[in-house]
Amino acid sequence: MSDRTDERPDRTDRELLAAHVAGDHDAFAELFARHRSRLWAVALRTMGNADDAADGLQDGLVAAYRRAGSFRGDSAVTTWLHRVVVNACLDRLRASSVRRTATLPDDHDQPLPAPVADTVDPALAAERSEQRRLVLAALAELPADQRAALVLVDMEAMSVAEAAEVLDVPVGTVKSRCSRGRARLAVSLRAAGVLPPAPPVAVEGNQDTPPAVPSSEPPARAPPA
Amino acid sequence: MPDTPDEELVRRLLADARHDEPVPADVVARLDGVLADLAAEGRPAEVTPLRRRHDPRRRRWAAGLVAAAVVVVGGVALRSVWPEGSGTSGSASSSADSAGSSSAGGRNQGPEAAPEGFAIVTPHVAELHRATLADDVRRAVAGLPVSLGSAPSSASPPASFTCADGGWGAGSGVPARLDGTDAMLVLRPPAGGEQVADVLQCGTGRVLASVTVPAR
Repeated sequence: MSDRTDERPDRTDRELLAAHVAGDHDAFAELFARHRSRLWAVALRTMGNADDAADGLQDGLVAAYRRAGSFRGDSAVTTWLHRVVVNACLDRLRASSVRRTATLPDDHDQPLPAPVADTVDPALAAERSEQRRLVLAALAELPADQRAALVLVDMEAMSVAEAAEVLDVPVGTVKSRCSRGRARLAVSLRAAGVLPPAPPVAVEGNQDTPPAVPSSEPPARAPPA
Repeated sequence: MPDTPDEELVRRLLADARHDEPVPADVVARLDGVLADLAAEGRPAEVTPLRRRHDPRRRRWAAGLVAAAVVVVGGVALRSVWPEGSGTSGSASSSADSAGSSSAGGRNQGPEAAPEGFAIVTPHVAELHRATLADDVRRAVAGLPVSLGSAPSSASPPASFTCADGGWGAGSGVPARLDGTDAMLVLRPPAGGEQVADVLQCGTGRVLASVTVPAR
């Protein structure tokens, strides 16, 4: 993750953070503005709705502003910012013990961005929008730690190592959370019809073991005595 | 280990559901306002207990107003068991309380909410261990002033104890080491004859461990 995320020949993230700590009141606003969109996306997907995401992002903003002096420079500033915001969101989730089983993400009814093609098949767009709604709803059902890991790795395309830094957990923990989260999502999305039905499980070797999925073939019966 | 077909499909679906739209204008305005207030405070590296400013632009208020009402009622109830002056609300967060312009936002309180007081009530560092946390906390609490309400407004921990403020929230702070690592033990305002004791991480305020002990 780079410390300079735009092409402008101005101060790096580290320089801005250092300037902020030194008392430059504009530096933090500039730094935050650079990363606001991605931080918002992470907060929104972690919290599941815009109101809570705004709260979480505000908490993170205040914490980062006030704790800037504690940044030791052992990670990228963007990683640190993500860490502060994700922690703020997770703290909110823990504090409120919010269960989002009944709520849908705020943008569930918004259409997907227009595809590259000039013509949009309305039926296809509607299908994708519904699919996205179901994915976000299923994501909101996951435990917060799994959700946060998936948001960073699968949505924000962070490497597992970067996500581990953000979440302040070992790489293996991120992998585990992602794996368990995806497995749970697969179950939910299959039940919702987003994923195709599971293929029959092939059973090899031991013929005495009954098949996991009933075969269409009639069961072999012993001839009548 | 390679992804299973299901995992690969889920990953693709999640990637498709990535949020790529700009931050809503009302959120940007709110955050800009918070930043302006923080800049007006002029203390970029200082940490004080977080408190949400009152901002009429902010969110859909119905749920927030209900929460604020609950906090007010709860605050009134708590004052009967948590004497005023037990913390440093008059010092640590006085600017936020009096000016009403604090821009922090971590505790989900409206302007009518009960004040959050925090004070370090002893200069001594409590040795805590996860394995014996409840006993350790009880021992630490037993060594505190008889009435936390009459405790000095703030005590100074020894110089060897370094713990950056993590936004501790309301309660009485006891410098501590949890399994050898500096931390802050915060005794929350008692309720129902019990008292939650949170062990918080220095610098972040994250809860490392928590135990409920009889209220003093």
